[in-house]
Amino acid sequence: MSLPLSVRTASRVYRMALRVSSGSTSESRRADMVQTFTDACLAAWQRGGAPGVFGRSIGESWDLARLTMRFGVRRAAQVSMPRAAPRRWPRPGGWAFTTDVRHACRSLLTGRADLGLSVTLLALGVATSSSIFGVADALVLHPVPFPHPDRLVQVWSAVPGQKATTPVIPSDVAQRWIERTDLFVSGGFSQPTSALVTDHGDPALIPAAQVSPGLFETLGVRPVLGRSFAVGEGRPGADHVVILSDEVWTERFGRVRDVVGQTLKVNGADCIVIGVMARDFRFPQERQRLWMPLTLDGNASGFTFLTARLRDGLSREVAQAQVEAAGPGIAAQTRRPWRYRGAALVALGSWLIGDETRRTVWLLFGSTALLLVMVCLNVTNLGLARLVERRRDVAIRSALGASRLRLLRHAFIEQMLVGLVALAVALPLTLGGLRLAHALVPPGFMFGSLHVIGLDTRLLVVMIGLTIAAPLLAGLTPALAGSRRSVLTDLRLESRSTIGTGQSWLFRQSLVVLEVACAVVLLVSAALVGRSFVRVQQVDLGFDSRNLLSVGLEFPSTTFPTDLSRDLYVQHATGRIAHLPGVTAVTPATGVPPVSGLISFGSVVAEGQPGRPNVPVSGYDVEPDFFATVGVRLIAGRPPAPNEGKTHVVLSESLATMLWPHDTAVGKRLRWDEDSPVWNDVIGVAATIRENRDSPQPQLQVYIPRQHAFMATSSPAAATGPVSGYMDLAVRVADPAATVPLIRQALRETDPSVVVQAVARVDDTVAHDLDGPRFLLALMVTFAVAGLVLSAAGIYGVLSCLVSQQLREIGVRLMLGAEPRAIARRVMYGGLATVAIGLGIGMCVTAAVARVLGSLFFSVQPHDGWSYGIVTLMLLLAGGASAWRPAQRARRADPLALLRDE
Amino acid sequence: MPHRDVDPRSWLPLTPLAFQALLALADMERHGYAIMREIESHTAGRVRLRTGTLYTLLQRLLDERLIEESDARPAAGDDTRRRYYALTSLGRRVLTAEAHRLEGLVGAARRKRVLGRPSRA
Repeated sequence: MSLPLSVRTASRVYRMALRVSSGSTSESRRADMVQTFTDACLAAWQRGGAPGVFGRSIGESWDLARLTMRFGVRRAAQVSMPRAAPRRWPRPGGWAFTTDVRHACRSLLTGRADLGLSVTLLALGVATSSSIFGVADALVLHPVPFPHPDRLVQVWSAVPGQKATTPVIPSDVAQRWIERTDLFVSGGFSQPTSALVTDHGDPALIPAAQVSPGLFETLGVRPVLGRSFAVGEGRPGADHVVILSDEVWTERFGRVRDVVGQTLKVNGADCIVIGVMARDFRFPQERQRLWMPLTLDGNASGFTFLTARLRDGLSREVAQAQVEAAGPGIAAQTRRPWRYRGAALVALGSWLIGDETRRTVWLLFGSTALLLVMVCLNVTNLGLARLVERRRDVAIRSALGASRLRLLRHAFIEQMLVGLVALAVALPLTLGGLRLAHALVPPGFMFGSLHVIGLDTRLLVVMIGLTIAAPLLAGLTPALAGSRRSVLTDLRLESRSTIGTGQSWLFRQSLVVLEVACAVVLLVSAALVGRSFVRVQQVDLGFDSRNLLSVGLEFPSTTFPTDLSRDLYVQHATGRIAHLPGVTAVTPATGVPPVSGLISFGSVVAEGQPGRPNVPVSGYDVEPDFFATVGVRLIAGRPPAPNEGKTHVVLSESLATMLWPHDTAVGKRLRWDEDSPVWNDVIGVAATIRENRDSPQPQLQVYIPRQHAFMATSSPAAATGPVSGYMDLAVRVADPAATVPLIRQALRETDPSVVVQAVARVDDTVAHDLDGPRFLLALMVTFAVAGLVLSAAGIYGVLSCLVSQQLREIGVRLMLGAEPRAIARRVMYGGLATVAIGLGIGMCVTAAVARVLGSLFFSVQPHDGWSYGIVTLMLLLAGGASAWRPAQRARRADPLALLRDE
Repeated sequence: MPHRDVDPRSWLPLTPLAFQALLALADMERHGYAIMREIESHTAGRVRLRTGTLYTLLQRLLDERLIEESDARPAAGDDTRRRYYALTSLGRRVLTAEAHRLEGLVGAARRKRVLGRPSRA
């Protein structure tokens, strides 16, 4: 008879459990037990179906667990009643470990409250640490998740002798780098682009990339379905193939297994799907979701990114020198007018994560580590408190012959069990924490990260290590203390050693002092971050973001191939929008603040001054009404006039002050390159726009009268890609919510083929600019509150234990005439003294740490008096509150009752 | 394991579960699940053994040589993984001794009118 699925499954699980729990039992005996179990489950299934099988399985599992731990089964399985000689259990050699595990379980279960508290603290501490480690690993430690990431490099173009670099190289000479087999094992090219996908779902412009055959192999990755691009694919006629991301496969094909070979209409052409990448694969940036083939030859135009893997045995320094030496020779062969005539080698991923992000992540990492240390200190204190309660038990075991090693082994096993339980609780908490981190980490942090935040092998190893190390460290101290105690002292009922010895009490107090010191660091850091955040919010943006909309437009090459066609569209579109109800003003520009315009990294040469190299200037091509529409205040001079030449520019106040610190910039002249013959006249100075409010470096802007309809496309490949140009519109409205649909409709009516990238509220963009600082503040406040609670709990625990242990002395003092209030004050002062010592140590540590992290704080000194003062007050209040109840307990002690109990 | 004295009274009193297990094997050889069912039937469902407890008890009884494994297969085609158990002669004597002991106790209870009027011998 064929067994039901539920019975078969239960039998399989029972067989596996038997193998684990009773390894010494013979195979035939196990088979017999499994058969009996199966018969029982079958009977349960006949009575109650699958639920019946489930219920029977639960009962059998519990019975098996009891059997393994020898809980109660011994008595049930005895042959004779207890008066008979005790039977020895048949057990193989080395059973002492199981005995220890059983005893450890029993002793842990006697203090369920302490066990629950220790497990909860450890699980929360480990889960928080692991989640933050996951973020740090993805963003900072291993931003490049490919095999041997230290061997992956990119070749950039550089201006010889200067720091000016750009991450692209001319496409027509790119292949020459790949041919340098003395430098690279393999390499490939990539060009970010967009793909207009119009079937298997709604039409959408998907961020994509063109990649050359061999690039994925260089990275060390391969599709989970299908294959990568083959040599020759990417050439005209052989380029109608595409590789999907996991997201596109899910959204457009429903994750069907036979997706390889199906077609997808991309940019108007039917492309064959040849592969699907892994779910967490990201390249060349975090955005790309589709990959198309690319082949470059000597006639290729535009620019490309080159990624290569260094030859084995070649050090990065030697490779850097060889690339710099070869750069001018290769760059000279390009037909493009190109000022970057050198080359530089850059580690893949090193430029994707900014220094500020790194420092932020390390700050969070350090805070989490501190929190974990506090958790361990608290658990250690709990262990010491339990040691006091169990000192007689330990003493009896010692008197009966248990060696110190045996006692330590018992404590070790106890802590291992606590760690295992904490690990089981921490695992789902960590998964939840990682999902939360993935949702809450600001997009700006994740931009460019190739490593998706998630639970991987490394994180799992870290978690297991933490949950084993933390309870061991926390439990080792009480174990060592307990194993060293005097047996006689602990066995004497009239022993008056309160917490064992004065040394033990001092040790516990010093643990609390350390906790308070850690809490100080967390609280002061959070206070500094908080004050920094408040200051950032008060920064003058330089323009008026209220009721301002930013509209991003993309022009398909097929319908807007020329400048004139794009110019006409912009004229018609702005004319329509200007007449919409609720629209105050509209102006086109190559960027709407706070988003940067085109950024150039060249030399800026003021007339009569030496050139300043590598100056990043954000350039906006604007109409005369730009300043009024966007609300940028003109400090001096005038805005550009209609049809004014592009050499009549308006500078930001920051740029003007940099070039002419003691004089007005209006009327002065400057060039954008030392080699350029064109001088630009400064006709006005505008307020500096703060593109990044929390950046201490002044941003530099220049406003150039718009001469052509469009800027050159920002993508190196756009000349041959699907998009021929971009433009932004700044629209000042009365009611953004009501006007946005009208604007979209007006743009559609002007020409439906233009892709409206976004219609965004600028004040939302401004608010999102603070997502990073807000995220940091939220986490730091959370850690600080947790630290405060832990330290307060530590103080409360120690004082409560002290009062409990000293009740007899308190009773004697009260009998001898001591004032109850004096007793209470003594307890309070003890608690506050602990806080004060911890405060002192913590302040010193914080002062040192704050200096290192000073760059993270905006307009706030690392030794900000307010922050330190507030933290001092908070900790003293918390310490007083924690000491209050033990003090009251001591004050209300009844000396007669205490002495009667003795 | 040291050999016990062959006097069956030295095993007495048996634990209730041990007595039930031996009683289940008194009339015929049985496999593990059948022993479970037999005990459940004897006790009107009050005692329901789980597999782990049963086999720990059976191992104990095997060690004490009160039961032994049997090669007999009541039905052709029976699953060969099932192992059948039978009373040894020692086990039968122990079971009988325990049954007599319990009978004596029940008789004493009857004489003291705990269970009603004593039956005439």
